[in-house]
Amino acid sequence: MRHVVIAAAFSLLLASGAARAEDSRIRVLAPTWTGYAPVFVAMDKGYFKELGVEVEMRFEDDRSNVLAAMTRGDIEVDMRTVGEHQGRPRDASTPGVIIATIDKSVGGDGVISAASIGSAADLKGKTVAVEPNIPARLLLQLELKKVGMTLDDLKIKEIMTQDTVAVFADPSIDAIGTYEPVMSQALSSQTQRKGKLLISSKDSEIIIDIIDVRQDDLKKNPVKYQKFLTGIFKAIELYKSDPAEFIKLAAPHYNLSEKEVKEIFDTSLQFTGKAENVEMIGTKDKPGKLYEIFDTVMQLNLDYKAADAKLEARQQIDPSVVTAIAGAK
Amino acid sequence: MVHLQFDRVTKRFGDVPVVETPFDLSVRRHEFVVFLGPSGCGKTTLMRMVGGLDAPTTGEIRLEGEPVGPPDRRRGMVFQSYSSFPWLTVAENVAFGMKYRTDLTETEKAVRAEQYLDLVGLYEFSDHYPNQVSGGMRQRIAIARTLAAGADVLLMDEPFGALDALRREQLQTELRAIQRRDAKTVVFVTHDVEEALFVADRVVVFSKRPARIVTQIDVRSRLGDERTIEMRDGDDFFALRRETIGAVRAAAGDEL
Amino acid sequence: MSLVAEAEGGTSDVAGSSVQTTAPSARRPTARRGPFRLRAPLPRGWDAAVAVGASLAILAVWEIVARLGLTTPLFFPAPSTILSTMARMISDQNLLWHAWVSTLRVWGAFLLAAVMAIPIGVAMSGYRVVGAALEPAVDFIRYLPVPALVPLAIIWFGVGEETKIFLLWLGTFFQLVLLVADDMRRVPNEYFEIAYTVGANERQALKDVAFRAMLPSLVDNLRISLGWCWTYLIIAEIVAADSGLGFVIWAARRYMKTPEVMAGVVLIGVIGLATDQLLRLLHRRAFRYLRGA
Ligand SMILES: Nc1ncnc2c1ncn2[C@@H]1O[C@H](COP(=O)(O)OP(=O)(O)OP(=O)(O)O)[C@@H](O)[C@H]1O
Ligand SMILES: [Mg+2]
Repeated sequence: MRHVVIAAAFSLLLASGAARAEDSRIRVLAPTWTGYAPVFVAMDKGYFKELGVEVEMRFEDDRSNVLAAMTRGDIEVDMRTVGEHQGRPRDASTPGVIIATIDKSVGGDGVISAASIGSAADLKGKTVAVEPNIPARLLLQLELKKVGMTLDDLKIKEIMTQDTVAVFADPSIDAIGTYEPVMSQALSSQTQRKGKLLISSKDSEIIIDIIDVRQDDLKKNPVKYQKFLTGIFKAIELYKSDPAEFIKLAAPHYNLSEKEVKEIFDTSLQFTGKAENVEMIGTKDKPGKLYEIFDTVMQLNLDYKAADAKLEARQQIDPSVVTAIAGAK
Repeated sequence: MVHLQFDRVTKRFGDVPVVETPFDLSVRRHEFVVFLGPSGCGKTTLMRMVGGLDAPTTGEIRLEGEPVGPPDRRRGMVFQSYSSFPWLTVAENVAFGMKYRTDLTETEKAVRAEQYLDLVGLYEFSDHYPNQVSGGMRQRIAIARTLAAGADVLLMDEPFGALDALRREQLQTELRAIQRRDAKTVVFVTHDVEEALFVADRVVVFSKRPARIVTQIDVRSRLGDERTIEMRDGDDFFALRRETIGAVRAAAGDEL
Repeated sequence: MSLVAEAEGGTSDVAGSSVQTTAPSARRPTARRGPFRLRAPLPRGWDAAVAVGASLAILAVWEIVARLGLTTPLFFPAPSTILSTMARMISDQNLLWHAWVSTLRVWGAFLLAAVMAIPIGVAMSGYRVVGAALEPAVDFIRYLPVPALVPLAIIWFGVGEETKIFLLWLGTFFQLVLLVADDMRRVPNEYFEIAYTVGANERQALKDVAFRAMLPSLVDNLRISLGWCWTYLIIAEIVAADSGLGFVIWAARRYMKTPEVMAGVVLIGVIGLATDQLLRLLHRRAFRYLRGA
């Protein structure tokens, strides 16, 4: 009899423990990109702890793996670019809804080309190397669209972006869609190509990293995500007030030196804090700028069949979390 | 007294008849019988059936009047190759023969192991591994193991096939002596006529496949029980050898 | 007499004897002496000396080529650079801890694979039904590209340790099963029959004889598949990564830090080499009987 009581007590304890963990735990997967560093800094600084959320973040570059993990309910949050968020196989029922942005690429992504290429129009019939599903591909599409071309007008070779420098050494490649730091390295090391930056995310708004959340958990624990964003925004505030401290905390998570991290921050990206988010996301009644960007990118993805279904920005973006904390101090 | 009896035994592997004409043979207790015949005629198959490693297709093999079942330690096998375990020392290999005996205590097993090591002249090599001793010694390990297991029928399939002439002669003499001393029944397969005559009480000469008995040679009545190296040069041995070779040639038929 | 087929009777063994008797070599068409005769034994101690010497020579050439600027340091840094990078990573980036984590993962997955593969492999070649039932599946899965199965692994096992272990296991288990089955198949029938004729039952014959007989080649195959297991490390450790050499290498690759990538790769090589040598040594110790007199 006593055993039964003890066992029952135990299972109760376990059950309540599990429930509590669910209320406060957020597991994140994100690519190895320093744009997501505010999460690490907020963790290291204890911001999340103060707010009562437990955050775990690990790296995963491969989006299909992230989708698998989210479908299984193994993670709550995924961080990606808007473009990747929309890509196949997402349809209206796929888990993951955008609640905020975290950073935007300002020079971090781009297309480099040989000296002979003067503009996007010159790429017609040329060989362009680019990995599927990376921001540079969208930038390239957008530029091509402006001159009435599509990716079909080029000879596309699929590569691993990490191999950019080596690929650029091959004179048969006319341009590469890539990202930092390999983008700069390719230009500076392969001097014989007299390469140049043809297209840069600096000149465009469409490369934005967003925070995706599992809808079922968001519905159950909306406050948890308000706390989560609060922590992240606080870390972004820290970057603005004390960049050295922020960088010192962020660098080890990426096995990079502080100098390297500083360089990336200075040349590649810009964090989007609370104010920017309020503007980008807006409210239910007055949608922000992100909706427009979402639609532009969606069209690009549909044009090149990187997505099957046209997704509605209103269904894919949930402004409730940002709205809820917009008023707070 | 009959120890081992083949009663109208036939054997086929699928379409291949190995023994077609029903095979009858009685082996007396303590008799040393040698199967002599051309390669592939079915000697090994017959012997394996005695050991319980194969079953006759029809007919029956009886040991002490009882049909033989699956292998047990009354019927010990000595193979031509892989006859001892390389990971055990010589002494351990011999002791392996008693590993599954429950009728002996550990001390008894140890004593017996030493006895048999001594009997086959391997006592001083007890701690060697089979790889470290000669091929002849390895066959002696197998014989000692079989004896230690308590087998009263020894089934030996070309046990000395890979040895040089001198070692063979020596082992043949030893084997014959052990068989007489310990009163074992032996079925021994070989294609070597001299070997057959030197160790056997009786040689059974087989035809080519499907196996049939061509003739049997009662060696014991011609050479007696004791066998010595010198006998091999004797006239009796030579005469017997010529006769046997004649029989074997006849058995091989037109092929030769 | 060993499983490694060897002629019966007295072949005078090669190991150790460096001095050649003159008679046979005098009659050989090329009476060449020294180490460059086909299958000639090396004097004791030379093996190690030649191995170390040749490796150092390769390193020296590499260093010189890199120093002379004949290679792009961006892709092919000098050994000295790699070494100093490794030292820095050990002090600043917890490299040894990452190596330890990877080692635990590899060994965990490998032991799991071994514990499963040995009985299954033995059963597959011991019992034709089991073999016939499992062989097609094993052969099929064995050829599947592990990286393509990662999302599936995540659906089954989540993004925790289990998936990493599973992926490493996946790369090892199916190969190992077949190797084990093969080892078992090569146990001569005579060994079973000897066991039966001294009164063993099937279980005893398997345990006391077959397993023992296949052990040397089993251990060798385990050693080889442990090596394979390491080669799947990158695939496993970039899934929801936060630790391990695979993660370190991948993160460094993302930022094109070639010396760090190479340091990680070299460290895996070093761990592999050390493990392999250790296992070989244990093999020699444990299976002394394989060597002749
Ligand atoms: N398991 C088996 N399945 C099919 N055929 C078999 C099998 N075992 C033996 N045979 C065949 O049976 C015949 C007799 O074989 P066996 O080994 O008994 O001959 P043997 O007289 O011992 O020959 P040898 O002197 O060469 O050892 C051979 O033709 C052989 O190929
Ligand atoms: Mg035979």
